[in-house]
Amino acid sequence: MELILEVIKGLWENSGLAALTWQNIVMLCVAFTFLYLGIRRKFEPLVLVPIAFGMLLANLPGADVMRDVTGGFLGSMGQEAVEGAMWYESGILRILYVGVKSSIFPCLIFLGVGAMTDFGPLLSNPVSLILGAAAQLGIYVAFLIAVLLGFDPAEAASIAIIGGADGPTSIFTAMKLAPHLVAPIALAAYSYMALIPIIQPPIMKALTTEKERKVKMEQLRKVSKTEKILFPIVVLVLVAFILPSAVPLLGMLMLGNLLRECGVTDRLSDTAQNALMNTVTILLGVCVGATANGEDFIQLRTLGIVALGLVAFICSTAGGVLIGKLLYLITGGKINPLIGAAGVSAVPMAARVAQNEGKKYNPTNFLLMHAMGPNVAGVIGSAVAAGFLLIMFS
Amino acid sequence: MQLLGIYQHLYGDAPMTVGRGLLIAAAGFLIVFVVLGAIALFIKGMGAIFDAAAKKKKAAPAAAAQATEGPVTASPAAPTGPALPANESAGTLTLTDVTEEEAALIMAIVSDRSGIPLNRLQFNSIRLLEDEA
Repeated sequence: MELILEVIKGLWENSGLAALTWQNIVMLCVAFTFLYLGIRRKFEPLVLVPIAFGMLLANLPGADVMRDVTGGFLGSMGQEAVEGAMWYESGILRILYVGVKSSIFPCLIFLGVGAMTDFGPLLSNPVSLILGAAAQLGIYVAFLIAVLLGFDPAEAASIAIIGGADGPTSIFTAMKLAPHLVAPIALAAYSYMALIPIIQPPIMKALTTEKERKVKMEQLRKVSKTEKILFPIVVLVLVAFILPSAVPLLGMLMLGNLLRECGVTDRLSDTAQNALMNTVTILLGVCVGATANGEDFIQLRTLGIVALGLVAFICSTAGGVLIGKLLYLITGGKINPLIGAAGVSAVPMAARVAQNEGKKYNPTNFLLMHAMGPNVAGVIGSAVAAGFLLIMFS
Repeated sequence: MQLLGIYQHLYGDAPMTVGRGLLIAAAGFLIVFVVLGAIALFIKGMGAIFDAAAKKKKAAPAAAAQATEGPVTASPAAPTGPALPANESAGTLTLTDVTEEEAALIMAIVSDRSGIPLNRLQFNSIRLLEDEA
C-alpha cells in the first residue's frame, strides 16, 4: 500500500499539473484565445496560429521548450547555466530562438516580404509615401510616453517601434537597443499585427465621415518594368546614404523585390516568397510566442510595454488617417482617407482592412491597390524610423 | 566616423528629459518625412521621364505612318459615348459562377492592362469557363 502511495505521489510530483502556476494558466487562456481568433475568426492565421502555439508550448509545465542550459548564451535572461551541459541540450525552441536574437529571422522575413511586394501602386501614386510617413506617428508618441514613464531612452525607442506595426523591424531594433525587452516587444508587435482587423476599424470610423469613406479613387498610372527594377536599387542607395543603420532590413527588402522584378531570377524569387518565407514565418512565430512564459511575462513592466505598444499602434493608425483626411481636402476629395490607415506597414493586413472598410460603405469600392501604396511605404517608413532611433541610441 | 549613439555623444549619460524627448521625437518624425519625401520626388521624376519616353515612342510610329499615308482627315476612333463620372457605372452586369469580389478584380485587371479607366469600360457579363482538360 505504501509503495502504491509513493508511486502516486511521485507521479503527481513529476506531472505537469503539480508544476502549473496561475501565470501559466493565464497565458494558456491567452494562447487558446489567440488560437480561436486565428482558426475560427481567421484573424491573420499565418501569424497568429504559430504565435499562439508557441505560447501554448512555453506554458505547458515541465515541457522546458525554452530552457537555456548555457546561462544566457542562447539569449535567455536570468536562467542559470547547467555545469557541463552543452548548448544543444537546451530546449528546442530556445535553440531556434537564436534566429530571433541574431536578427537572422527578421532579415529573412524582409527578404520574403520584398519578394512578395509589388511596389507598383506606390510608384504609380507617390503621395502614398506621405501616408506611410504619417503612419509612423505612433512611434514617436509612444517614445515620449515611455520616457515619461521612466524607461531609459534605448528602452523607450525599442518599445516605441511597435508603433511601426512591423514585427521584423521591432525585433531588429529591440535586439540592438534593449535585448532584454525583445520578448514582450516582439510578442506585442506580432499580436497587434494579427489583431489589426479588430484594432483599426473603430479608429478609422471615428476619424472619418461617411462621405470620406465612400470616396472612390481614380485608376492608378501604369508603371513600366524598368521603373520597378530601378526602384529597389535607387531607394536602397538613397536611404543608405542618409540612414546606414536601416540598411540590413531595407537591403533585404529591396533584394527580395529585385529578385521579383528583374525577371531573370524567378526561381530565387519563388523560393523567397514561398518556401523560405513560410519556413521562417513558422520558426519566428513559434519562437516569439514561446517567449511569453507566464512567470516572466506577467509582470507590471511587461504588461506596460504591451499597453504602450497598443497606444503606439492606435496613434500610428490615427496619424495615417488624419493625413489621409488632409490629402482628401487638398486633392478635392480624390483620396479616400481610409487608405491612410494602411500606412502602418503590416503588409498586407492593413491594406486589406482599408479595402474591407471601404467596401462596407460603398460595395462597389475597390481600395486594395490604392491602400497597398501606403502599406508598402509604411514598411520603408518604419525601417527609416528604426534607422533613426538606432543612430540616436545605439 | 562615429554614426551611432548621437544621444550619448550630445548628452553623455544625462537622463532623458521630456524636452529632449520631444525634440528627438520631432526630429525623428521629420526625418521620416524627409526621407520618404525624397523617395516620392525621385519616383515622381522617374515617372515623368518614363512617361515622356513612352509618349515619344508612341508618337514616332504614328508620325511615320502619317508621313507615308498623307494627312488624316478623320479623327482617331474615340470611345463610344461620353465617359461617366469616376464614381458611377452603367448598365447591368451578369455574373455566372463568379463572386462580386472576383468580378471586381477581373474588371480592375482589364482596366489596368488596357489603360482604359473603369468609367469608360462596360462589362456585360463575366462567366466562369469549365476546365475542358
